Amino acid sequence: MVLVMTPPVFFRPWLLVSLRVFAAVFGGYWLSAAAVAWGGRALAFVGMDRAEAVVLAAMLGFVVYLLVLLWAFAVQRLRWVLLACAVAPLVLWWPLKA
Amino acid sequence: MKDSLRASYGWLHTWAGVVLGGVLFAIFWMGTLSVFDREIDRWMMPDTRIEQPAALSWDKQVVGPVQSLLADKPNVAQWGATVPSERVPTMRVFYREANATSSITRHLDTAKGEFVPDQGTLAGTGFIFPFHFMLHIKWERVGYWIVGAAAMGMLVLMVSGVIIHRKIFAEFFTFRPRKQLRRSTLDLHNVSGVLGLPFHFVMALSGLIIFIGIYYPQAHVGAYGASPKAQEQYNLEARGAYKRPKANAPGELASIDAMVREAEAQWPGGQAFFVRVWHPGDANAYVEVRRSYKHDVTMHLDRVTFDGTTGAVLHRFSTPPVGGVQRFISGIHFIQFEHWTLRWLYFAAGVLGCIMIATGMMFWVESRRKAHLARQLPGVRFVEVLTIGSVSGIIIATLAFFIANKLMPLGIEGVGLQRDGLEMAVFYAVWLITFGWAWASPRWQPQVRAIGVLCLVAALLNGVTTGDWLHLAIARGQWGVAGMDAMLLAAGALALGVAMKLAARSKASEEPSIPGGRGIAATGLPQTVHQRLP
Repeated sequence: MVLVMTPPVFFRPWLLVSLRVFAAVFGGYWLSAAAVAWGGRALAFVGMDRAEAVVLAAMLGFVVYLLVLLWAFAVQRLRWVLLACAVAPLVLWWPLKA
Repeated sequence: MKDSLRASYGWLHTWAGVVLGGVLFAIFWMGTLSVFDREIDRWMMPDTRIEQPAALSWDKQVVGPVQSLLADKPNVAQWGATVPSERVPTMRVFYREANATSSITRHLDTAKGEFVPDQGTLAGTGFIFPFHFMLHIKWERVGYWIVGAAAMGMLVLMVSGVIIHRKIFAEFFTFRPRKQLRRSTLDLHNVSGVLGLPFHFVMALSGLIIFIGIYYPQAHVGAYGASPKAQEQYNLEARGAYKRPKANAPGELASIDAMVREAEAQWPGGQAFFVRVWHPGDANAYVEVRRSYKHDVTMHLDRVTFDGTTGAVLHRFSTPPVGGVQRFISGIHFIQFEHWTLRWLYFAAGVLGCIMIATGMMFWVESRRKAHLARQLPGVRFVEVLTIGSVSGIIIATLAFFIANKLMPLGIEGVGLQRDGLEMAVFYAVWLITFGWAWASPRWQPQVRAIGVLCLVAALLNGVTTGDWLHLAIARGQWGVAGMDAMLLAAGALALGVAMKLAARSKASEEPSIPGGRGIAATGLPQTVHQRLP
């Protein structure tokens, strides 16, 4: 018996590419924004002036976002992109919203 | 994502470039013009072409005219004014009514003590400059976010563009204008891209850093907490933005001159350049006096806030170190310091960026034209129309905006719009038409010729309607007006020259071609390059 394998619908290349673009652009921003909020808190914690810490973290946020974007299009496995750009920001934002 | 980093980034560079190319060109074009936004203002607002006044008294020359301007507007939440300068000889007064989404700017002739008649135009500082950073899409700040996404895309494009190059140093010096169109387009894209890379990287990143408050509105929640009160506290500590509510009782304004003297006394060698009155006419009014940065790159936030009725100091703020870095990076982008040589270099680097973006989009089209035609794919035609409309189209629309400014009489109204709205409507209508025109005839030549003609018409109309012909403007020392006219004449001549060359080239290609003259064999590109293209 010959088995004709058709890949499941969610493995279509255009869908995987769209998912990666979506995760990188929106999730990557979300991750960088979480990094900014935590970065400001961390810098203030180690003794920097609060307002200065927030401004520094916010400026560096764009660099974080750029690195996340570049990484998301370089890495082979989509699951790592989803982990970093969807799961990680969710976990990071949770304590800040409370 | 692909097999190699270079292949992945080749894909990323290609598709991010095609998707963002149109909006990036619009941002670069408007940003390049914004370098001379005040000069465009003088050109579009003839009644503001006055002599720069020598001395200034706020109490005697400014407060009176402003109070009579605002006499029939009881809901004004704030008004402010910027002192005259070399580039803006009038006093720019703005006011904002409570719950209004934007403020209104008027020009005060301080020598005469009266407002210049409303010029009915948003001109350079009101239309072109905001277009550069928010595309005039106000709803939910969508315009800012689109520009921010494009700027991030620009950074990604620059990094990926560097990585996909094998010989980046050699390409510094490679331009083969006489090779086939595809090859010279790519050369020009590489030369302008590599040459302008440091400038373009700094511009894209600094453009984002200017708006940390918009792009990272939650930045403070880690250090301050998530409440609105925490946000207010952060604004006060980071930017010295002192605030207090209205008393809802009438109050008299104290002497602004005295406040300015007091503020200047604490800034060694510093001058006040901007004063803003919050809650005017209220007992709880307060006055913000800001320190000038015309000789600094850093647009520092130094300010003293005074009680509006007693003149007592309420709050002093001087820019802290990291805040100063953020304002230094902003200053690199805003070029608010006075330096004509650097201003022209910014303009030239901006033009270089426009060339890089336009040739990048053109290369996408040229490198796929044959393959797409053979496979009957719609991509090439679609992107070609998009490219022509976003490049020559926005230039034509801008020139139509300038010409409409010269042809419409003051005080005209129509289709529910004031004169300034009509000028903008002309811009958008003409821009839309150029896309239709490109769809009907996907060729550069007619639109480039139109640019040439419109440039000359605009310069001619300035002379006819205001009498400030180029040589007379120079004689009067109106350098903004003279510079604008000179650029229009030069750009017009250049565009007409290019249009003639394009016409000659398309005529030559219609004649029977020399065998082997224009095939792939003559492009100088290795065969593999064509196969690699997506």
